[in-house]
Amino acid sequence: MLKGLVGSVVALGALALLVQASAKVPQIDGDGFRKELAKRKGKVVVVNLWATWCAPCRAEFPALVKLYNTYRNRGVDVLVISVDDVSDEAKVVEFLQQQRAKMPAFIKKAGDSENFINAVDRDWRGAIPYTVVFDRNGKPFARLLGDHTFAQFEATVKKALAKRK
Amino acid sequence: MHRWQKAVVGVVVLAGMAFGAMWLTGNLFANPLPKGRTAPDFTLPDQDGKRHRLSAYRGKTVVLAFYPADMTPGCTMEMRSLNAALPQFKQMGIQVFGISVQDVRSKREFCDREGLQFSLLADVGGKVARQYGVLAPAGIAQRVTFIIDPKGQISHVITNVNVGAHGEQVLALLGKQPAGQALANWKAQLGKPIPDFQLPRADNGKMESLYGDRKQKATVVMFIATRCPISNDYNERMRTIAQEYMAKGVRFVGINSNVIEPVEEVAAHAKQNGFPFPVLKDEGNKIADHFDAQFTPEIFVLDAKGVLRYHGRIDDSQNPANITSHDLRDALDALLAGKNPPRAETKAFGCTIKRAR
Repeated sequence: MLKGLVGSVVALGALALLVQASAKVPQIDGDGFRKELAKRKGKVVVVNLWATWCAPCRAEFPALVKLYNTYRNRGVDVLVISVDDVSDEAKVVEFLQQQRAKMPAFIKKAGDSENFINAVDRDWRGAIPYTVVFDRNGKPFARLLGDHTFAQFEATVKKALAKRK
Repeated sequence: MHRWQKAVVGVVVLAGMAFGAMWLTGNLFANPLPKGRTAPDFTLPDQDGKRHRLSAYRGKTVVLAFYPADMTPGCTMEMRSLNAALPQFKQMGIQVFGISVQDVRSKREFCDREGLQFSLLADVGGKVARQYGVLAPAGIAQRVTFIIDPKGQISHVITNVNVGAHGEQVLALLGKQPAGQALANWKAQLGKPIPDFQLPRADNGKMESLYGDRKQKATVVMFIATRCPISNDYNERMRTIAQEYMAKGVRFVGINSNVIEPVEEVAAHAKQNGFPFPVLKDEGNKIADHFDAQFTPEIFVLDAKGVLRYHGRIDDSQNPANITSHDLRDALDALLAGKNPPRAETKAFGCTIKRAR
């Protein structure tokens, strides 16, 4: 009896590990980004560009998780896009799980970085962490270069929400 | 002869040579007109044969830079430095003249060779140099710069000319500001010249100017970091590209503007990676602000005249195996061949420069 219980616990644990290891983050390129943004028209969309190798990105990530959890039902969506190499996908998955990140997450598709950078925001030169807040019409409303706090993200989002359509 | 006798003779000969050199260039008998005096009027031709009368420039500040000889190393550095500061001089409405005793043809050659965009006056015979008290016994002018105010009076006499940074030296005096701050407002722009500046080297604290001896065919400015993984991915490439192109007459300068990376760490990092170029510490990120540099590694390439010709990435892949576009090499190859870089601006991912708040 006890043996069977231990066995099933171990089996469950192994299954959980397997699920975790096989979790996927969808890949995205410039066109994919435009589609994702268009889908969310009518919402304020916060897009954060980050990477597992970027220390300030990791540092500000909890603020983005909190932002999503606080504003997801209040007309705001948060998208996080990792610019890690696709071969580092496992690291990305691990970090997202560790952060209990539930927001839509993507990893940049291999290939042309410039096209992707310009699709996200023409004014962006590629430095991360970088966060663009798009207004309800899908136009850039604010650009935040470098790491920011929850209070700073929240203040920007509130202003974007207050803007008339 | 005893050994001590030989030593005495040696010392006497050396002293004599030094004295002779000083006598020839006149530094021993410097007696330039002092400030406050009215600047003697003159009319002299420039490199195009155009005649300039000093009194015709009343109402403007005039910089009159006497130098010994066209196309000699010190004078070349001095004139290049004045040339690089021309945009600032123009903005401030200041007229700049170089002046020496060689003739119009020699001036023409000097201007063509160095791409000088201001007038060099041919004071053949040294009459004007004598009037200003700067004619050396050898018949050439001493290196002295006079600044003449809009009323025609001498406001500054510079006898300790810093040939490598004379433009900044003059601007600093005119702006009544310490050197560096006179150029407070410049912003890097493609197609526009970058003024010279100085920053301390991370390894020994000595001031290093952007352009150094100004003999290079192009200058590469690289904003780099010690802790940014992307910048570090490029350490090896920065070292090899620099070695290769330094041999072709290109100057490389690394700049660290990250507030979180102390100077000792920057020096150790440069040494550890065998960087063959100086790495300068930009405390307070003033230079990064002038360039509007946002991330590491971020590259700026200036041509022989200091004009910004390329801005962006080293290449298009962090992973050397996946590079398809060698943008920095392409830009340098083009400039060295006298052509425009194939692309003036490129983008890539990098680490945001952590600025002082």
